Amino acid sequence: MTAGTGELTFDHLLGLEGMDQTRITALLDLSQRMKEIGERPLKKVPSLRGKTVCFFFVEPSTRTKMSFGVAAKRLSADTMSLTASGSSLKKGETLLDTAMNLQAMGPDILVIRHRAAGAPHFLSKHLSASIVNAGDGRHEHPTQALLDMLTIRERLGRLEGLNVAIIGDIANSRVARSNIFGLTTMGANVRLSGPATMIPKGIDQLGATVVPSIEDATDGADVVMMLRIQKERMGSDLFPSDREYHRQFGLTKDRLRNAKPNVIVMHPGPINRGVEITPEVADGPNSVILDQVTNGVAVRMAVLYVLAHRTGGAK
Amino acid sequence: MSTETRLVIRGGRVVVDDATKAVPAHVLVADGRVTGITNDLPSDWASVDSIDATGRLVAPGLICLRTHVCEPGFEWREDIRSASQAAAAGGFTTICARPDTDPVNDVRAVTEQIVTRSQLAPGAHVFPVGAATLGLKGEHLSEMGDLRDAGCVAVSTGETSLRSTRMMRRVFEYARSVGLPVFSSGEDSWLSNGTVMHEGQASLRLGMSAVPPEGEATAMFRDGLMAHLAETSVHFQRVTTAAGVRVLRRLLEDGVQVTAGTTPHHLCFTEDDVATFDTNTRVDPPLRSCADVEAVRQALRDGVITTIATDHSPMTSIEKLVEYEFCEPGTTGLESALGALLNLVREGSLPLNRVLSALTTGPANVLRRHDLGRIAEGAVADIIVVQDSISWRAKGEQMLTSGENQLFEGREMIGQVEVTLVDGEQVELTPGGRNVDFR
Repeated sequence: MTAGTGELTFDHLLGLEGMDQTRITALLDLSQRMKEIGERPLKKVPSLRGKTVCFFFVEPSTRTKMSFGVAAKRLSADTMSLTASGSSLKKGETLLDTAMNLQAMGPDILVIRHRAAGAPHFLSKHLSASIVNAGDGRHEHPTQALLDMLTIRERLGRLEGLNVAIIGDIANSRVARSNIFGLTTMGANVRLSGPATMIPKGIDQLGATVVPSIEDATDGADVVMMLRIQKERMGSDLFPSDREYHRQFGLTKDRLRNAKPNVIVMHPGPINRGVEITPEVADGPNSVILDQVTNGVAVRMAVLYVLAHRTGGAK
Repeated sequence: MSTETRLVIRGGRVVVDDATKAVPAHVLVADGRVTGITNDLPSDWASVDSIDATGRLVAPGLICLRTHVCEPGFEWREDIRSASQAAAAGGFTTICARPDTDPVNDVRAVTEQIVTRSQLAPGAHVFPVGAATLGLKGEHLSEMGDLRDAGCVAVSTGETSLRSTRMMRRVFEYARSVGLPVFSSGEDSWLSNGTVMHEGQASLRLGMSAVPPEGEATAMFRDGLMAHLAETSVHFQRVTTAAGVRVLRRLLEDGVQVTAGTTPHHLCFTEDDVATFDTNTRVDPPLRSCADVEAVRQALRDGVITTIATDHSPMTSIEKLVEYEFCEPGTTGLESALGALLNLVREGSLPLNRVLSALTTGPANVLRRHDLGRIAEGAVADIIVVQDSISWRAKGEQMLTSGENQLFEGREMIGQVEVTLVDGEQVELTPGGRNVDFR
């Protein structure tokens, strides 16, 4: 693999807030090249041989963790993994102590998911390894937004000027936050819709527009991004019932009619079928939900590649 | 009079008349009291102790209505000895100890322990504040009369306002009958529960659970109405929002007997300071918006807010080296309050007289103690001498508090406290004076 990273160097990937257009574009370009590796019969390059990537997941994750794992292996990195249930955090060790112990094993990159916002930022101040934020509380999930942007760009050819509707639990969603930061930076028009209990007051300050109904959001949309109803994160006071939610805010075939004909439908997963999205839409011709998963591996390869080259190492 | 004089503070600018002015004068002290403020030194002044205050500000000792002395129960953070020393170092001669110790200060035995330990502490007076309800749970009234007899100077409802409006009413009524002031935090616990920051533009970006300023305003309004119903007064310890200030002005207009305070950090920092996830910015109430800070400053200028309390809450660095959302709130403040506030004065943000009165006569009036917080004949000789033209930077490691959480670290400070007199006696400051063999 000879993908030059050019001026694209990062110490850490903590979030998309503040990342400029040039860097996002460069990361997406690199991801596109990484994607090709996954299409080869032998899906492995030696770029990260001798590098160690540590996965530190303090909050449950299936696809993100596996996606990072596949990405690291395709680049020939050595990987190690620690999850909360198997770690000393359960025994009362602090996050910093656990992380320092992991660091003592010499990883070049630490990929962390944590339920507290800012946990990756906290570790980045105390550890020498590069930190990748794989989701911190309700704050950011930068690789998810990058893979979403890669998917949109691949399908529609650009990001600038597109109408992107993000629908659902914006308040509790790190995916929404990272996408708002990333998409508005790239010049897309982001519209948000959902019950007012799930739309944070003043969110328009971040450059997105809040619209009253799902129909307003999908009207002329190029992209409709549905968010998962995060049952584990919310109190019981955000919406009355699954049934009511589906009727008012669920994405149905009917509700897609006013969108652009080539609209793409996205979802970060896991899906609550029949709640925020009907099966016929999730599995229908406009759905790119599985492309998102494929692109997730490519984006994470690009991120690991860039961070591993920060320290010199693999050339 | 001069025959009784034990100490003369010579040649300073003496803060008098409810901190409205500073006049060149000498202050005479005897038996722990101020015996005179004069332009003429007594003939025998050379034969008694004297402090040369030339070019210095001679001010009443500062009073903090809200300090966590951490004893009993949290002695690894601070104890009464180190808190009283830190207070004296920062110019405070009286600190009021929050009741949320372990055990809670809701019975005479705990109050007595605090009083006994504070008598041995070589620094500021430590006045216990009792819990208005048992365990601060808001369910049963504490024995407020007994708490008063043991030494409590006020009762507090705790970190948030009581959930039950009916119980709040009873607290005001009963406290009135035993003659104790009631301190309310003015925070709606239904809204604030589980939150770690102010709901505003910073929380939007950071995605952390946040409390809207309306939580302060609704609780203040309700508690004000209940105090009025009970025909007594209420003191709001920490007004930090524009919404809270609006409610405060309204209550005052309506004739409710209300006083209110704020903190140095709510006058100096905003929600934007949380952006780096520095856990020293995790305080309760949270750091607010710029507009809130300006509204609170304006309320101080207008004399609507009349006290500033440090809300000194020491912790070890280990306790702050955690995820932001899991960190307990609090910053130390006793040794940075005066310097930070005088810096605001220097910047032109606050007038000196309001700052000084909010640290002296304002809190003394809340405590209904007219012999404290002023330099006047007959007043307790709690006096500080401040070199008020010195500028320095706050450094936690040079402070006497055992707390290691210093929000003001590195900030510019104005004014150095050179002498602290408590009951007419000069406090000796001994670094590292915390009791390590606490029991």
